[in-house]
Amino acid sequence: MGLLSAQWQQISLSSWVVGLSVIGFVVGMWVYRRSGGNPFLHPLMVGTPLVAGLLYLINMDFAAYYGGNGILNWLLGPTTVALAVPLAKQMRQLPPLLLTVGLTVLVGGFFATACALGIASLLDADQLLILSLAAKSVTTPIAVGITEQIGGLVALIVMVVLLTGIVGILVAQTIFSYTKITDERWQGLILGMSAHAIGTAKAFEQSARCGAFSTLGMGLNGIWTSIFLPPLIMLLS
Amino acid sequence: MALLVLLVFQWLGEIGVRAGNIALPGPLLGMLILLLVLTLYDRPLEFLDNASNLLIQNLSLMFIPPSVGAFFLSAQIYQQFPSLLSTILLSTIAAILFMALLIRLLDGTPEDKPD
Repeated sequence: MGLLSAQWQQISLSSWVVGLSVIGFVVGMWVYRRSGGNPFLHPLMVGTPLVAGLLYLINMDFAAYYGGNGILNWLLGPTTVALAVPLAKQMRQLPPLLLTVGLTVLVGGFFATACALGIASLLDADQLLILSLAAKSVTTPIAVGITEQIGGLVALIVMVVLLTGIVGILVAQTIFSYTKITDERWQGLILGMSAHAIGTAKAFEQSARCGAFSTLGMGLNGIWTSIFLPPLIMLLS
Repeated sequence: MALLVLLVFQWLGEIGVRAGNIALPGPLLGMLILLLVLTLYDRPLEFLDNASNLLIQNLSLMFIPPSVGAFFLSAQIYQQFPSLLSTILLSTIAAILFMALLIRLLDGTPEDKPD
């Protein structure tokens, strides 16, 4: 019985900590929906400081909190695999546009990352910081995997990806009108490639077609970046 | 059931990454294998759609623990936040501008073509 009650205590203790994340998420979602989808009030922008504040309040250290949230971390694996399902639905759009989409993903995706690395080194950022923002244009589950692999801080990349998405959707329309990109397919592709899931949500608000291309851009850029970034980092360091 | 399917592909990915010594996260290779299978199979699989949607819609929940970590970093990292924010701002604008110009170059017609 002693063992059983000890196990029960462990389970109830850890699920209690997951509860903190759930509270942050639910409150964050509620605020986000009430605001009509304001990117500055993204669920993570509201939920994360709330949970951090609660941890300070109850004097819990981050390691204990993070350790207790293993189940959420574990779910990230199957969810990354699940990204294939919406992406597979967009693949049939690809053949007639292969050249433009392919070159935009290969060249544009590389440029986005190279540009982030270049600007960060010009601004004299530490190597750790550079490694923690290299995967910034990639959708978070893939960015986390890449960042772990190249040795950056997972805590930073999640926020960096989020901020990148917010900046992306704030500036995209201005750039599209300035460069006369009026075709919704290309607007979607660029939104997905530069602002990942946040851009894709924005693209779906515009039209299903724009959203479909955004999904395609996000997926292909994630795959491409995870292929070229680890060797590029090895080459540079 | 659908979660099991996703896990099987994740394991395939993880085995593949280790066996082939591939520099990719295991779940990502699993995603690529599943993408290949779904593209070749090309028929709707409702059970997989539902589970995938549920997981993807709740992605933000899974990112709360790591992003809370951003409030518990070393002072050395916080000192560099101005560079971090400038990099995000400048490189995102540059990337969108570059891709927009690239697409203009590749696809000369600016008007939306009808389906």
